[in-house]
Amino acid sequence: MTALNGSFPKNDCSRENDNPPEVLSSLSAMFDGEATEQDIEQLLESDSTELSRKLETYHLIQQALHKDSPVAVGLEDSLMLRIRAGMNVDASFPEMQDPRSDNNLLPFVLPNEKKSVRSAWRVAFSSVAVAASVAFMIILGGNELLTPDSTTSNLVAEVRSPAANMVVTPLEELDKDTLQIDNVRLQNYLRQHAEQAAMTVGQGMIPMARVVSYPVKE
Amino acid sequence: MRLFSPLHIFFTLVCLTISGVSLASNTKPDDALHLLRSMTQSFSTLSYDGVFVHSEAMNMNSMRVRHDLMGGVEYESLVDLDGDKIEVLRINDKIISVYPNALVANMRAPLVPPFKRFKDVESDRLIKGYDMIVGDHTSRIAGRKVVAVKLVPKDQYRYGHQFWLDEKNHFLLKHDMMKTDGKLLERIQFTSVNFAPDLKDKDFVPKEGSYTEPVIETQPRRVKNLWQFDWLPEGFSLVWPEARSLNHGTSMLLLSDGMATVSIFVEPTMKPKAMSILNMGATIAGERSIKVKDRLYLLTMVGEVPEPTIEKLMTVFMPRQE
Repeated sequence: MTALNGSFPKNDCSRENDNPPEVLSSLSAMFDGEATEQDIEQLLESDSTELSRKLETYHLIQQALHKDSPVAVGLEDSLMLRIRAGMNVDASFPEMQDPRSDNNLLPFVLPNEKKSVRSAWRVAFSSVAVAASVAFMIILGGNELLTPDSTTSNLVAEVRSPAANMVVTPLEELDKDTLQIDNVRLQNYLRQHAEQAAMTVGQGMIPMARVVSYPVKE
Repeated sequence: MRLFSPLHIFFTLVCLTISGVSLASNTKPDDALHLLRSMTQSFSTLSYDGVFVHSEAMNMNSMRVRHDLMGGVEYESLVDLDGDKIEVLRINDKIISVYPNALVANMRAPLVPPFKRFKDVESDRLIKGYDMIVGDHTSRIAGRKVVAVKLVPKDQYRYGHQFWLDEKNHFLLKHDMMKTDGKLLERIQFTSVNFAPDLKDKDFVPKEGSYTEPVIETQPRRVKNLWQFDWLPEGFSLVWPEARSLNHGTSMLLLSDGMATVSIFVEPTMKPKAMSILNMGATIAGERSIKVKDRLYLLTMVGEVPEPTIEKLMTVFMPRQE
């Protein structure tokens, strides 16, 4: 991604001072997973679009430092998710009841709000985690710890069939669910799947269409 | 004339009938495979300029695709006609993403476009999983006569497909993915296509004022595959012998039967998770944690296969036994 090579738009940099230093400090703390309640409140009162851009810059810097894949997934969502995760820790800060968060931060997960078709797709898959239902257990056991370098010769799997009443969550219900921190991970997996399916199997245009129409961060 | 006794004639007729049926059933998959191979080649050998619609579940999206060979150089363009008008250009092996402006560019994730990636038809795997039928009459799609190729799943672990190919050049004009009961899950269909487009190289130059980014493909690191399946549906097998290492310690495997694909993601986790399944059109995603000795792993599977396939695959996934 060229952004790593310094091709970020100039106007992006010019916006750095739109937010006060303490807000940027809070954003940095959130990015590092060290945000306090005060940090969260400051972020909620700030311009989320600007913060998202800033967060993206942080993310790119982190990628460059850690030589991660240049594929950046759901960065704007990531900001919202981090803030929401912080809110969830604090029981005195109930989810979805703060009008600021309703109006500014997570408009695409409000239960009754109209979404774009792409948002529906994203929200649907992002909510896989929410759809979890304790329906069956699977136990894998063995005598050796599985490590990347070990030859797991004695590992034996013990599996049980899924229960008949396992819940399969349809899209319509997922739209009503709240967004979870797993959103980013699932979006990434869906994109990886679409890309690899398109590259691997010669089944025509459908995978191609999926790949091109899917990667939306909004 | 015992040779022509009624019984002898009867058995002769039965044998002829059986052999005739056998010949017919042997011929049709070959015909279908020939058409599918031709379809695959047509994407990169023909010149075309067309608009198609992609629909799945409640979503619909229109795109324009252009392709041509000029002076030994291959040009290709795919434009998302809805939303932000994102374009992906390919000039030989160079791929460029074109955005209306920098803001939109920053709002989008980088693409790994599947241009020039249509692989050979994997006939062996397809034959194991699907009955293949070539339609015996033509119809019209986007104003052109088409021949239909139907892939009927042999079991409940995969979806059915129907392709409508241009009768003359076998270009794919329509593709349906459906459940075994015939319910439509996903579709692409051309609404117009021109196989003699008057394309110039300047048609593949980003417009002035747009924001472009070259797409740099990163090859995922290949790592030893530590996992296996105790069972797979007929025709399915791992596409890569090794796993692909993604960020944050995630390993990715890919299964395919030559038509459908299932991606498997495994990563260490600290939190136990019961199985959950989510459906969206033809795509099913399943997730649960598995425990290997003292370690927990989060298993995620995503694929265009029926729910029972994902459910079952998630129960037979286990550490590899060397």
